[in-house]
Formats: sequence, C-alpha cells, structure tokens
Amino acid sequence: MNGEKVLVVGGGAGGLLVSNLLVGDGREVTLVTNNPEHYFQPANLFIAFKGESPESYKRSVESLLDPKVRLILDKLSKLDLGNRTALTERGKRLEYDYVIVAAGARMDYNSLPGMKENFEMFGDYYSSPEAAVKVWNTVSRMKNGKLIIGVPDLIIKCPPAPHKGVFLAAEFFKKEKRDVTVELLYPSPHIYTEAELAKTIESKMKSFSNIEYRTSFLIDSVDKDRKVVIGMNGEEIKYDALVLIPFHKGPEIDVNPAEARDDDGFIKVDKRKLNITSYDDAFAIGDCNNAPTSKTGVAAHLGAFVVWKRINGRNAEYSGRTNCPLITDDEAIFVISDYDHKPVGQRFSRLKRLMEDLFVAMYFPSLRYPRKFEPIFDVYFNATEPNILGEKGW
Amino acid sequence: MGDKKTVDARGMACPGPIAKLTRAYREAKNGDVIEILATDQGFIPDIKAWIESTGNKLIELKQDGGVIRAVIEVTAKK
Amino acid sequence: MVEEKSDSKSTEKILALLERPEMEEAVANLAELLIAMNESGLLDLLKVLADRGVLESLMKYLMTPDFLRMADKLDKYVHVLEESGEILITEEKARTGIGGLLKAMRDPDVQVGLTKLIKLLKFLGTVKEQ
Repeated sequence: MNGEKVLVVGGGAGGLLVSNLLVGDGREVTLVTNNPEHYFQPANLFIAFKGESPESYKRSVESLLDPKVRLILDKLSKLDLGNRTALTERGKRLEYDYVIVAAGARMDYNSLPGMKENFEMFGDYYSSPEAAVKVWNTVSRMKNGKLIIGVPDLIIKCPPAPHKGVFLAAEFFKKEKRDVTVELLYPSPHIYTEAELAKTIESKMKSFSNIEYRTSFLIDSVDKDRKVVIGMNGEEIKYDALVLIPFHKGPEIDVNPAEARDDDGFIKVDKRKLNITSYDDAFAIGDCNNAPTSKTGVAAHLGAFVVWKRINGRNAEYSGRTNCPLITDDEAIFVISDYDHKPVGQRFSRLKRLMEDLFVAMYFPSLRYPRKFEPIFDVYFNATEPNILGEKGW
Repeated sequence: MGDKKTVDARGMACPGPIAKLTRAYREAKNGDVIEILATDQGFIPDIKAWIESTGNKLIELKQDGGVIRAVIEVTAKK
Repeated sequence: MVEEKSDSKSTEKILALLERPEMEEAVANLAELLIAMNESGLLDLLKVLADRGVLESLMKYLMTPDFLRMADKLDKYVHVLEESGEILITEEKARTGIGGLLKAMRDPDVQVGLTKLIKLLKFLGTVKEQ
C-alpha cells in the first residue's frame, strides 16, 4: 500500500492488535519490543493468590502476530517525531510514515522509601508473572498475622486490582482456615475512587471476617526492619507481609521533542483521537499515554481500533471507556465508565464472573485475529455503554 | 510561605481527581498550597471527606461554570 | 535485526506429544469422534458457527441491557420461582374467608406482598402489545 511504513512500539495487547489490524490492510508493519513474551496481565492475580502456573498465561509475541508483521526483538531507545525516525538500543535506525507507541507503563519502585527492598522481598502482582510467584511463595506459607496490600498512588493499571488481591487473598486464607488478616491501605476517602461503587465494594468487604481496610491512608515509607508502613501523618501500621502497588511512569523512550511527554513521562495525546499532541502521523495507545482514564487493557484494545480506523481515514474516537473487572473467587462487578460518565452502579454477580472467565478464554485468539472478534466485542461494548446502562446500572 | 502547585483534573472521571491530588500531595511539604481543578461532581463531597480525614486545610472550594476549584493548604504532613 | 520466523518450537512440542504412549488411543478416539460428528452433521453445524456471523447474531440477541440485567439475577429469580412454585403445586387444606383475609392483612409480610402485587399490576397495565 503506497509504501506506507508503520512502526509499532510494544508487544502488549495494544501493539499486537494494531499491528495485526494494519498489516491486514496491506501496510508494511514493523513491531519493536524487547520482550519476546506476551503475558495476560490480569492472570498475575491468579498466580499470586491461587498458585496457578505462569506458563498457561504466556505466549510468544511471534505466535500472536500475523506472520507478515516484521518483528524486531530490541528496545526502542529514541523516537524523533519531527524526522519520523527511531533508533533501537542495538543501533538499528528505523523510518516510518506512521508510528504507534504502545509501550505500556514503567513500574517505578524508587518514589517511596523502602519500596524497592520490599519489592525484592515480597514481589507484587503488577510487575511480572515472576514477581507474582514471589507473592504466592509468601501467601502460601503464611500461617497467621497480617498481609497488607498498600496503594501509595492511584494512577495505576486496573484500578480495582488492589481490591481483587484483597478478596482473593482473604478467600484463600478463609478456605485454608488460617488466622491471617488482609488489610487494604487506600489513599482516597472511600474504598474506591468513585463513591457509589465504593459502597458496593465496602459491603462485600464487610462480609469477610478477615478483611480490614483504611481509607485516606497516604503511605509515606516502609521500615522493613520494624515491619511497619508509615503514613504521611506519622501513623504506623504493623505487617507480617506487605505487597505494595508500584508507581506508574511513562515508558523509557527518549522522545524528541521532549514536550511530547508529561512530567511523569506519559505521552501526551488528544484524549479522543489518540494522536500525539500536534502530530497527525504519531499515536500513543494504552498505558503509555496521558489520557485521563484508567490504565487498562480495554483502553489499549479500543485505542488500537481507533488508531487503525483513523489511519484508514475513518473518523473514530476513543470515549475513555473502561471495563475493569473486580473479581472475587466466584463473583464480579465491572467498573464501566467513560470521559463523560462516572462508573455505573453494579451488583456483584456470578454471571459477571462467568463473563470474565469467557473473556480470559478468548484473550489470545482475540489478539491474533482482531477482525474476527471485533463484531463480538462491539456488541458487548455497545450494550454496556455507560449512558445505555444508565441509572439502572447492571 | 510554601510553594504553589496546580493540578488539572478536568474531564477526568475514573480514577478521578483524587488520584491526581494524591500524586501532588506526595511531593508537597507543610505550608505548600495545591490548587485542583475538576469537572467531576463527585469531587466536592470527596475533597471535603479527604480534608476531614487527612487533617489538611481547605482554603477555598468554588464552582464556576462547571469547573470546580479547590485550594488546599498542606498542614498534616509529619 | 530481524528474528527469523520459525515453527521449530511448536514442531518440537507436537513431536514430544506424539511420542507419548497415551497418544495412540487418544488419536483413535478422536478419529472415531470426528467420523461420528461428520455423519451426524455436527461438524457442519460447528463450521457454520465458526465461519459465519452466527455467533455475532447470537451475541446481538443476548447482549441487550435488559437481557444482561435479567441474566445477572437469574439465580435470584430461580429461588423466587422455586419457592412460589412449591406453594402453587401443593394441595392447600386451609381456607381463608373475609375474616381470615382481614386478619392476614395485619401480617407485615402480607402487607409487603400486597404492595408488590399492586406494583406488578400497575406495571402490567402499562404493557402494550407491539
């Protein structure tokens, strides 16, 4: 197609989807990623709190790409938006007509004193499947005491994931009849950032005798020798094991001009068109951009379709839609919102948990064959738009 | 007198303005002033609850043409 | 540098699987199943399901806000239907006259039930056949 060269950065859901879609138009697509493996990130919870094997949730990036996509296993180090060129760490120079950055968020353990040491000791379920195995090693051996899940910052992937961790851990300890309390330390004044949904989640937490939580708790630092989490007001809380949700920053790419990124390194985009501010041939989708919505796979998925359509001259826009599942062992709710609507009211149900399981089963094929799955996802997203579900909720 | 920082959380529903405030508060010290701009109506009760539970000072809370402006003084840091 | 595409990893995996002793019986079983499915037309049906927009049509039928909400509470409805069904199919010996009715009206549960019945009647009155 008229020599239209597309460069895609990142082998996560957004990068794979947009590559497979654009190569299907006959474009020349190159994907650069330094990780040869793609893993289903929500499964880190199943690894951390159910002891599941990481292997079943991993695929090679190559196996999820249309063979016509050129795959470069290297790290993109420089991106020059003005000259439409990029440079990899091993010195390969690339030119493009369109670039799509889908490099994800970078986990940062240095913004809080004691966090790095704590990560090395207990792991987390955000960074990698290996770090989640570390959590399982602790959880599966705990006989009594307190497991704290601490949330220092709220600009994080899958905002309900801290709560999911609390529910799954509490259910594990309950089943095993172990005397372990799970406590959530949360910075906002309600147990979820949105007040109505917070009520639903709070009453579910209260139905567990081994869940505790604190709101408006702002974590300042961790003292690993005394095993205490210290709040910004000086208050201390003792733990036996601690999982901290890491800070999220933009990807480690040297972007020229530097103004294309915000103070935290996220790439500045038009929140609906997803093009990098003041460029019409450069886009950023998913966790790496600064769109004022949740960092979630749904944003990457929908973003990939928006960019694909826009490059093909269609007038698609991203609505800010989220669809983050908050699961317990056998029930779930979905945090469904967009730029113009706060999360719709929800009740915990088994149907929603079943739908989440079905989604997990479709995950890998839906990345590899996005055109086949598009109508199916579209029907779901349309039926559950926040303004359609409305006051009645779901 | 401390520093002043403005946090723009307009057009942000989920995870919401409190998320941006949390990030700014971490970097602030006692005496600093943080101004937050938001359009999410839930922010008014949220910021009041946040002030009450964290013990910081609310200097101003106003709504003008759909934009909520809250100014807080950081007083509760250790 | 471009990594060479190769299926060597998956080929290796398949070969290792084929060498397993259980494989012979499993393959024979699968072949029999395939023949049976082909003869009964089940394979053709699956082909239609996978190839054409059948799944999409099914999703369109099922994925409406009303249906999603109803499916979400199906377990609760089943409970209500089961309990009331039991009352409906069991022979009732007791008899209630006007006096009994007045007495029953003092029961808070009956009062709530009556309110629900009135709500239901009110809704039924608004339903129009399309």
